[in-house]
Amino acid sequence: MSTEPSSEPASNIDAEHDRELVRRAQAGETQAFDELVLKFSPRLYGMVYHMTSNKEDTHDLLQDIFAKAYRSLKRFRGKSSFYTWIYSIATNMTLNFLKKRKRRVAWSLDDVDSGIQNDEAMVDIAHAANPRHQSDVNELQKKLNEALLSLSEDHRAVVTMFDIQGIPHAEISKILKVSEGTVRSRLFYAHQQLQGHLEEFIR
Amino acid sequence: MTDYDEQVRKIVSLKRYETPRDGYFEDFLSEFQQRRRRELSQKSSTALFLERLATWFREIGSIKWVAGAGVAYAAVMVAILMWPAGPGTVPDSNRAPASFEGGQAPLIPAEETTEDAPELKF
Repeated sequence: MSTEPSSEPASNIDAEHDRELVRRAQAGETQAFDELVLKFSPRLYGMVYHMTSNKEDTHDLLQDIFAKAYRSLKRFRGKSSFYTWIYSIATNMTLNFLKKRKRRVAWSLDDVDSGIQNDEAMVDIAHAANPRHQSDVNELQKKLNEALLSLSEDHRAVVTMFDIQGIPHAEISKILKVSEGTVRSRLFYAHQQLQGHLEEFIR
Repeated sequence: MTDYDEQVRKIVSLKRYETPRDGYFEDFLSEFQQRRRRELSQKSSTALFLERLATWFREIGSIKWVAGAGVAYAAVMVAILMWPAGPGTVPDSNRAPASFEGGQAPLIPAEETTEDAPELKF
């Protein structure tokens, strides 16, 4: 379990440029914050969407996340990178949202989006990963969503960040404010659970 | 990492190809800008004043602690000095001003008064 994902967003981002944008935004320059929104919204969208599995919820939540970050920006002291800071806000808000949604009686698996089942890239990659199931991308996607939603929120968060978004263990531990060991053990346990759900797609 | 683990990771990682439609993030930013303008216009003048005050205090740096301590000390002293005595408070006789009560004997004996003083002869 020591393999780190190949993409390392935290180290690839232009931290110095981010700091400059943050400084300008703190001074009241709204355009600088807009740049940060454009830069980070795709990554945060991915994190929130894979946690909620619902596009509308993701959209609303993402608006709230950036609104909160904007209001709190003056308190950001730069002890961590802006990337880690805003990811922490997003993760906390998403976990709180999921707790509330769980209590909502009307919400069920039917509200889960069907995703991008007709996307060519998805079909190709699903085929490459599982040649025997090439015609069954829809089924794979459905099972995948169900499998992810069967995980607890904490486990889903690490799977989303590590397996889907490629964030390294150390960065996840900073975002979630837990030790790296906890991140690794959550991943291990989550993978075991997922194996049970995705057995038919594993060669 | 086991082979099963690797397989699970590979399947789960397919989710990263689920992205929103083209132009979504530009529209998202426009909506966010509208929301920010709306929130700013709804902010009361008191909230704006408090925010500016907080910003000012942040910007003046360490002197704020000295100023804050001074203001707090002055406020406590004023409160102590101005605090009214309650209706049930018993006055402290040691602190009460001296007063003359008619029933008591005068402090100067009668024979020492000027009327009874011995007449001086030269």
